[in-house]
Amino acid sequence: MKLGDPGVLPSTWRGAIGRSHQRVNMVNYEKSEEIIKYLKLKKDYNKNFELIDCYPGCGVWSRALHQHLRPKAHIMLESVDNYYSWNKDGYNKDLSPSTIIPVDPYKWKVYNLLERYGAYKPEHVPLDRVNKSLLYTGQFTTAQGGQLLSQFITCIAYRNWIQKFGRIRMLLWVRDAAAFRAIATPEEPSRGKLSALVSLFANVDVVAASDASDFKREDTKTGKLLERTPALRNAPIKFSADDTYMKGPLVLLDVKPKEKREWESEISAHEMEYVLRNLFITPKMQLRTSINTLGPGAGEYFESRLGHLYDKATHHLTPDEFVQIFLAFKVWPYKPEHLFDLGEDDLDTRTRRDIIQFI
Amino acid sequence: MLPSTATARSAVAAGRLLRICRLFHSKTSASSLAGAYQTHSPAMHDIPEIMGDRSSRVDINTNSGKLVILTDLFDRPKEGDQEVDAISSRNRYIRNRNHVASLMDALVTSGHLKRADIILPQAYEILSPEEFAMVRNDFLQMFVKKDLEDHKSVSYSINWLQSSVDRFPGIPLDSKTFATIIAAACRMPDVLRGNEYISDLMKEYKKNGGLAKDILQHVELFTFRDARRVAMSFDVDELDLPAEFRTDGTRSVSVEDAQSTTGSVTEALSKMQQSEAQNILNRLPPDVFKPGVDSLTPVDSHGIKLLRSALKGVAASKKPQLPVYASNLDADSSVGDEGFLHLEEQLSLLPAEDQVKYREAFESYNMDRQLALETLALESARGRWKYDYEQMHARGEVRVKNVNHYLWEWHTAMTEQLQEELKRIDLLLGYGTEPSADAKPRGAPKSAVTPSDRARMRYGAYLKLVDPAKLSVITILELLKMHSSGGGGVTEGIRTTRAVLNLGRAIEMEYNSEQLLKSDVVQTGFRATKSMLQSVPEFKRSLAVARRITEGKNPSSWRPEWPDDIKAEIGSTLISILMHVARITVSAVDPVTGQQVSAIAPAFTHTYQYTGGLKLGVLKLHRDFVNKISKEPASAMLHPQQLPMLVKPKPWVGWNEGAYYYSKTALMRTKDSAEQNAYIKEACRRNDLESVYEGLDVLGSAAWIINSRVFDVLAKVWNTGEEFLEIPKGYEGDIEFPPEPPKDADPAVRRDWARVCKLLIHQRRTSHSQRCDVNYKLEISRAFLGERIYFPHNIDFRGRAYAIPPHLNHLGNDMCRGLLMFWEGRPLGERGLRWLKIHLGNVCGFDKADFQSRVQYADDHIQDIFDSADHPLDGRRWWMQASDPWQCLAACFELADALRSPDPYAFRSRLPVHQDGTCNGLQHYAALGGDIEGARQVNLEPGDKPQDIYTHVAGRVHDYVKQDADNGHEVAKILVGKVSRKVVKQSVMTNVYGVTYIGARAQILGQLKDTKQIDERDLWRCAAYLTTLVFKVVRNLFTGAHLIQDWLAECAKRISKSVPPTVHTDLKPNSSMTSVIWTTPLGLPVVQPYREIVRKQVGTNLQSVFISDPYAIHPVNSRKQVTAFPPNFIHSLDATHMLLSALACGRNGLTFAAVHDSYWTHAADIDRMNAILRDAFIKLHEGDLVAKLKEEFERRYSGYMQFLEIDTQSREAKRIVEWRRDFRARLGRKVTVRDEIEEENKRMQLLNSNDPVKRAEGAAMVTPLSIIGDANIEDLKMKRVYTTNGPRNPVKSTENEIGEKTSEQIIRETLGIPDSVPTELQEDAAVANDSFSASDETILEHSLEDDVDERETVEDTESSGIGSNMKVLRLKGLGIFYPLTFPPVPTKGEFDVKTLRNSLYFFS
Repeated sequence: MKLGDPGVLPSTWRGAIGRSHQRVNMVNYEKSEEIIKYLKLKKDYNKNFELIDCYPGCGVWSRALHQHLRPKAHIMLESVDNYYSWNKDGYNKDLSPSTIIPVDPYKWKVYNLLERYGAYKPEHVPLDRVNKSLLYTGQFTTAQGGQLLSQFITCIAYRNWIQKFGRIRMLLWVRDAAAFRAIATPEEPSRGKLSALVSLFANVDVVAASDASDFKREDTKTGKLLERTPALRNAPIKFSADDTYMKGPLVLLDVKPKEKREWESEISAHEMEYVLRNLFITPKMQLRTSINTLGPGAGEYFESRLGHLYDKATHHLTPDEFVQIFLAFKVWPYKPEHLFDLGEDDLDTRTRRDIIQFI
Repeated sequence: MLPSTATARSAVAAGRLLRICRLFHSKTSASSLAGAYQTHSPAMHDIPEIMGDRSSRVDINTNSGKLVILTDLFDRPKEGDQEVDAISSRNRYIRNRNHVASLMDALVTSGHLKRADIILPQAYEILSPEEFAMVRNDFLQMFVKKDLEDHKSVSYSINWLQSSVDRFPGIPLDSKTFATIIAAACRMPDVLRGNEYISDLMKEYKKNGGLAKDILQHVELFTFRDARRVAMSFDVDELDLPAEFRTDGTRSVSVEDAQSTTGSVTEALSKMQQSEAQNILNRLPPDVFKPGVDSLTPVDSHGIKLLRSALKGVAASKKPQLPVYASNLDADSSVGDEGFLHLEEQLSLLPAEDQVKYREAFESYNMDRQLALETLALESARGRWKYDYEQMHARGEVRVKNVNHYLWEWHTAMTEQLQEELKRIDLLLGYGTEPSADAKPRGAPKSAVTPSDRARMRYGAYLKLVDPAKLSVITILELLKMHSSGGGGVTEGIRTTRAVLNLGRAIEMEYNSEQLLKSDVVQTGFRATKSMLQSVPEFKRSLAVARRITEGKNPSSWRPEWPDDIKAEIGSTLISILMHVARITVSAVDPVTGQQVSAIAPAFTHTYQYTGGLKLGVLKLHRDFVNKISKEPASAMLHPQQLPMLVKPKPWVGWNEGAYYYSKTALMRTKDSAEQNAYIKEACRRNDLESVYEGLDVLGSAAWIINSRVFDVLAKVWNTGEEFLEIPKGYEGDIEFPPEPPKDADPAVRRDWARVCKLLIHQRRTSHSQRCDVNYKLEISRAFLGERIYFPHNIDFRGRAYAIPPHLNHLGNDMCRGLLMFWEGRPLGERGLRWLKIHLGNVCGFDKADFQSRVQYADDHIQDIFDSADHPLDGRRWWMQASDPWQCLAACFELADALRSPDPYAFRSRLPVHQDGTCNGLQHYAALGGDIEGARQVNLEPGDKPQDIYTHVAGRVHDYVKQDADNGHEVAKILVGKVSRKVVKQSVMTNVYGVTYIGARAQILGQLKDTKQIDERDLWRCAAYLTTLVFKVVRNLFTGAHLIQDWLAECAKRISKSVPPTVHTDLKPNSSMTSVIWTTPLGLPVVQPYREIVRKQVGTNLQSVFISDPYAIHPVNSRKQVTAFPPNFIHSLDATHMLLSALACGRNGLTFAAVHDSYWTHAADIDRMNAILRDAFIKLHEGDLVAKLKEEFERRYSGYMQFLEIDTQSREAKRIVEWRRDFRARLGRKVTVRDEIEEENKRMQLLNSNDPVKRAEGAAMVTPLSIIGDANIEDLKMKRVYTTNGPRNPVKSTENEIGEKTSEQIIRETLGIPDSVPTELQEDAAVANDSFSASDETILEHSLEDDVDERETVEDTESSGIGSNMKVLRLKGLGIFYPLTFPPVPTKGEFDVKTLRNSLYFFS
């Protein structure tokens, strides 16, 4: 029996590949096929498209995609040595055409270089329809995956990075925590900047999720078991912990960028990022309060323009309401001198440690 | 029922203990703590009697003599707070003694007696009987007063008192209780009725065994007439009366006068004090904060004129008089900047007798101003704002408001709001006491009480303690101060937690100093301190007497500290109010219309930001206002607390008794560590710290004056707004950001753009805050121009001394140092002139040469010196090239003056001349280790020219490099000829302070990078290789020292992993509970404060904040305890050396100042100081300090058990596992650490018994220790397993540094791109030099999975394997507790410390 075949437990893979990081991988080939069939990918992506495949890891998902869709170019980006060799010289040795490059797809620069050297050449497609010449997939299953997801969505807002070619669909494996945050509706407590961005710029579906009973999570503060959001509970395809390598809660998101709307050209994405970032620092507070994070005097200034939203908790705001806020912010004469987030590089290490200690 | 004198005294003593215990709010520990002292402290005769010993001999061999050993610090009831349980049903928020005591104090002082009466039963439950009696008496005092006012009688008070006996059983009515009511009864208008009460009360009192005369000992309660009335009625013997009430004329006239008004002596005195203070207040602004808003040009001070007139008065009438302020004294404008110094110089023209009188007048005048400074400066800030506001309105210039204008507006609005708030509080505190409220049926709606009202009920009483106008000024000043001094880790704004706590603290401080002014001062007498200043012992004696008197009589002088959550609530309430009222006018361009628009905006905003992934609450100041602050002079924003002093600081006499006169200052700067505080208080109580006090007093009594010529130059430079030396440019307008890239630009391009913009913001902020800092310093200098000033000092936890005034002091940067010189001038003499020249060489950076060359250096540059002195800004500006330019300028002024004076040797020089230790930490190490070669390299050995350790190490390292290179070592070949002094300097210096291999490698990497001689790709390898060599060379030079360093670390490790013999809480087996504690040779106990911090959340008006809970038990941070101990120990030694030198200098009449290892005195006295400091060093190191330390450890930690892991495979381990299983079965539950240790203790007790039967029983017992028995513990210990680190992962590591391939190279290779295709970099270089191009890949590509940190911590923790690629695998063994022992002290080298007496360059 071959690795990846049904019945071969991933635990036996460890010796073959070696442990690496906190990356969780889908390693059930049949499940992968099931997902691909469910998504009816073959209808849109059949031979005449390019596939960018980040962190193939154990390579099972990559292999299934390749075998089913037969892309005209399949570029795997894998920076971890053992995964790289595992794919290149072993498990996915026979995939053709495919290129595996030992660079880190986390770096923006890599995409520029690949484009520069002609590794992929997608068409530019207008924003009224989906660009079917390129498919992006990846297993962003470390703790930082959510952060990356957030950046990918931002790229849709800016229409830059690979999204500059048009509306590029992305199949992203992430941890459940990132998925929670990405698909949360305004009613859900995990609603935040990411899900607000998502609801503004993309349709994101949960395609597959690991079985909830395998990964019970406790709230770190209350100790209560966390209830999974309905979207994850009701994922069309379920799989078990045994279907993954380095067992962990996995979710596959299908990200389809929305078409361009009129207001998009009105607002500055930089200001939009600022507004969302700041409002969602205090998601549970009423807009009346959280609006003050936009700058001194914001609460009073916006009262006449946005007062009708002031009683709403920030996380209850709908995409349309956010657009209202963006448009109001745009013409605010007293907006802050700059809209950068200085917080991140602010603390010296001592203070940071000091603060971390009490969280 | 009433305590006899003897028991009263012991009650006082117990009270003292209680105060220590209170810290740990344990109800049980008063007696156990006392017991602990007795068992652990040495017999009394061991403690040298040094009180009053004024001989020049300082006893420094007291390591073993004066040990403070406190046990059971964290002894608490196991089940958490019983106290909370007891009262939780009623009043959840009262958590501990401190809280209930401070709340009672606040309620009583603010007159909320009804509310206080409700809290009393809770106080009764929580406080000890003694404490409660104090609280009850305080309450009664207010109650009686009110009774008398409202009913003209004391009947209610008597009723209350009678009921209190039933309500609070076991709390005796003492003499003070009766005295309080009797004194009030004396004041009843109905004299007959009053007499009846008095007689009844006295009868009752006597019935309980009291004596009438004791009643009258409470001097502060009675007026003279009333006291006589009581004395007459009850036949009190004249001799038994306190002096105040005798008729033999010992009373002062003023007291007699005071009696004519109603009220007691105390009240009358305090009234007098207040009116006097009011006078001072009226003349304060021109005296201390000099006018001149628009320029820094110093304006002549009224103070000088006053003194001048006083001087004239002295000369004319020969009758000293207090200078009196007169507003029309402004005609005399001839007074220069020299101020009082000028007068001082003219003094010699007067007859000796008049000089004395002048001096008295001067002291007295300064003392008054000091009082005003400390207590009334808040008023002065307010006055300043108001003045500016009114001036602007008078001139009609209100369109563009200046800072003070705004501050005044905010202040008035805030005061109004506060008054409203206080009314609401009054209502609430009264409301809660209405019977109807209590009678309400359970579950009835409490509509009137909102959550914010409930909060008001918590903090309200405290807020009422300080006048609203003052509250408002403090709030404004405190926020501005915090804003300018960095907000606690955030670049924009202030962290809310920090802001609310600091503000709460400031309010508490103000209240305390007001109370101090009212009580202590009046009783000990302000005037008295003035005369006592002349003699420190005299002062201390009288203070001790005063305290003894007050301790019994005025227990209310004990002020319980406010709990942190109350401080946070007060702070947030005040800030909320200020935020609400503080508005500024802002203008901007409307993006739609393009018109200039303006609006009113809040000056402060509360917001949140994510910082390092954490959500932090932040207070931000509007940027328009910030811009104003950085432009306008800071005079009205100066925080009055902790300015330099105008008189000699109050000598230190206790842990919070010294430095300033009207605010409590802590002797030691501690980190909220209950443990540190307990030790320092105990050491103070035992009078162990006399030498430390005296040393600090010497430092504090150095008189300084602002160097007005340096100040002039600085002011000129400052006013241009340009960059000059360390003063950054003053920016105007908005930052010019580079244009935003197009929307669809690559994410990397956007990120780079954001980075550049953030960098610009950061630069602007840095230069802005630097300018604010300079502004503060200059403004303080200006305020004190011409004044004689002093810097009170205190110490950090290792004993290092610091000046308390934070902004301007001689420990500051070059600019601060340049601005200061000694008040007193001393004739140079021949040697002095020479030292002055050497000093000039030193500040120019020419300090490596021998003395003769340094003198020669000054002589060679004599023209430059004159030019610098004559034309500091319009000349050649030679002084600006010096390594310490401002100090160099000051030296140029001084040298030029001296050389040009008719007789340079007679020139009275004021410039402090420095003598710096050469690598002082290594000097101490070399002396400890006796390393001959090391000692030579740090100038402990006499030599012809100064040795430079860094050059020496660099040379040695280079020798190795050459040798390796010859043997074909690749990295060594790169480095030949490139190892300079600079490359190794930093890591040699930090080596002493325990830098790790990783840290040192980073330092060397940085230095190598700066040389730009080495290819980027080789840097990392080179740094790693060099670091190994530097460590090797230093270790060889200081063999002995390093053995000691290792020994210190090993001891710290064992200590931190040990537990005391009595474990009261259940520990996790490997939790570390014990801090490393040692005693410096001067008797100062040093407690390493590194514990894990546990915080609790407190909800406030602004947000919820996390504050640390000082009462919780936290395990120590073992790693920090170990790594910090060697450097802390060395610091405690250099601190001792400095204080010893200070002591000796003080006794020899030298002016002495110090910046840790740099000692300063007059040029003329350098030779004497040099001899003194060498003697001090020899004295310090003559004994074997390390051996003494070991002795101390053995005593201090006797009986402690150390946690060890032993090999699970050993025979013993298996038997212990078995034993534990049995033990568990025996107990029928899980075995805890405590069980095991108690079992062991039982065995030891039996074994040590005199009873042979018991001994046999002990011998028969089996415990883990008996199982181990005589087996060698070293053999049993778990062995460490070493493995080599895996190879570095090529892709993840930072690529360029170690010569790995870049992403681009990899992609090119994988895709098979031919070399003919240019790379991105080549193309960029060819196209243009775009400033955003990605030139440095290591910076721009940041990788997600950066595992470097993780690896480093592994190496870091086990840094012993220097330079090795080894990784320590810790295998888990079986944990046991084993008696704590210490390894033998390493043998010392041959070096004899006495030889340094002749070393010229030891300090130079």
